[in-house]
Order: sequence, then structure tokens, then C-alpha cells
Amino acid sequence: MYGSQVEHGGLSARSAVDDKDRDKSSPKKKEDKLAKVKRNDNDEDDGRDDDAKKERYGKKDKKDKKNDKSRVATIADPKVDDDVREGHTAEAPTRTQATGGLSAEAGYITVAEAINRAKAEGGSGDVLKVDLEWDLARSVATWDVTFSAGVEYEIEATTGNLLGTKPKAPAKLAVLSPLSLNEPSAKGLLTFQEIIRKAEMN
Amino acid sequence: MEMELKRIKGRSETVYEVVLADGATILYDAATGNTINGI
Repeated sequence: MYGSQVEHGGLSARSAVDDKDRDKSSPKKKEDKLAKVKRNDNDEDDGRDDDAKKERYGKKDKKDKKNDKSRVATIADPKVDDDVREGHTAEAPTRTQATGGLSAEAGYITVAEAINRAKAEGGSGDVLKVDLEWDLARSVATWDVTFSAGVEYEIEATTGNLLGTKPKAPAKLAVLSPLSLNEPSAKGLLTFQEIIRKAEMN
Repeated sequence: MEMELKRIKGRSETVYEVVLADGATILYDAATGNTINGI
């Protein structure tokens, strides 16, 4: 991540050198450059390329947001050291956008915390299912914890706030066994965010 | 994207069911991270 910042700096430096070299070149090239600048001015005046510009700026904004997100991840996620060692962070720009809003590096509360929050709000029975979803309407990631009593608790993944509850159809729950996340065998399970990384690599 | 951690009755493993933004679904064994086919 910091490597990429340094790389951007390096790219800027190279561009400056290139410009300098171009300035030293022949008068013909200087003329060409002036003509190019003039053409660009015309483009700005006639407004024909507004859409193209918007697209360019949009792309830049996206890139900036990505960089910001990475910086936040460095502060919030202690696993980021592991990511750097494994090279995950370096691969981030080439990942697909398949994960649609969910992040392998965001500071979500843990599954155990989400279950505890749901229980504190009245969740009872065995935990049958835990979902991590991107809520399009609220633009937040949510944990949905479903209990054998037939109620799903929706918890905001970053804050732990309860967003709501909803009943689940018994037929849907009938095909599931309790998760038993407190058993020793559950200790070795991969985390949601480790699975997100795998999905992003596909 | 949506992902579920669950155990399906009649099977011993815990699985992650991942529905990608393009609608494709992938099942992962939660213990190994390997993809599972044919549940």
C-alpha cells in the first residue's frame, strides 16, 4: 500500500523528467507541443468532451477512494500485516469487483460479536446461519444471524447496531443444522473475510 | 455480494455459500477453504 504511494510519487517524478527532456528537444517539437496545448484549450471551451472528462474524473475519484480505503484498513485491521506478507495488498488493484461492497479488509465486528449482539436483542435457540451481506438500501454491510427459533437479526457489520429482525420460513430452516461455533472444531474455520479474499481471487 | 455460513443437514462440513455480484454461487468448505461441488 505504501509501496503504491511511493510508486505514484515515482511516476510523477518520471513525468517531470520526461517533460524537461521534451522541452530540451527541437523547436519543431516545441511547436507541436504548443499546438497540442491549444487543441486541449479548444476542447475545454467547446464542452464536447464533458462526458469523457466526467468519466476520467470519476475514475480518478474511484482510485482515490480505493487508496483511502487501504489507508483505513491499515489502521483498523491488525491482519493487514499478514496481508502485506502474503502480498494481498499489492494484488488489490487487480482484484475483480465480484464482492460488490463487502471488503476483505474492512473493520467488521466478528461473527461472535454479531451473535452476542443478536442474543442481547432477544435471539434464542441455536444459531443456524450467519450471513454477511451488502445492504444496498442502507449502503452498509450487515450481519444476519438466524436462530432456530425462526428469527433473523440484522446487525450493522461495522457498528454492531441492530437494524431489524424478520421471521424466517420454517421450511428454509429445516434443512440446516446448528453451527456450533463454540466447539473446538469451529476454531479452525476460515473467517468471512478470508473467504472474501478467495472469492476476489476467482 | 452475499455470503452465508451454515451447515446443511446430512453433511458434516460447515460451508460458506458465496453469491457473487454477477449472480454466480460458490461453495467453500469453511475449514479448508476449498471449493465444494455438487451439494
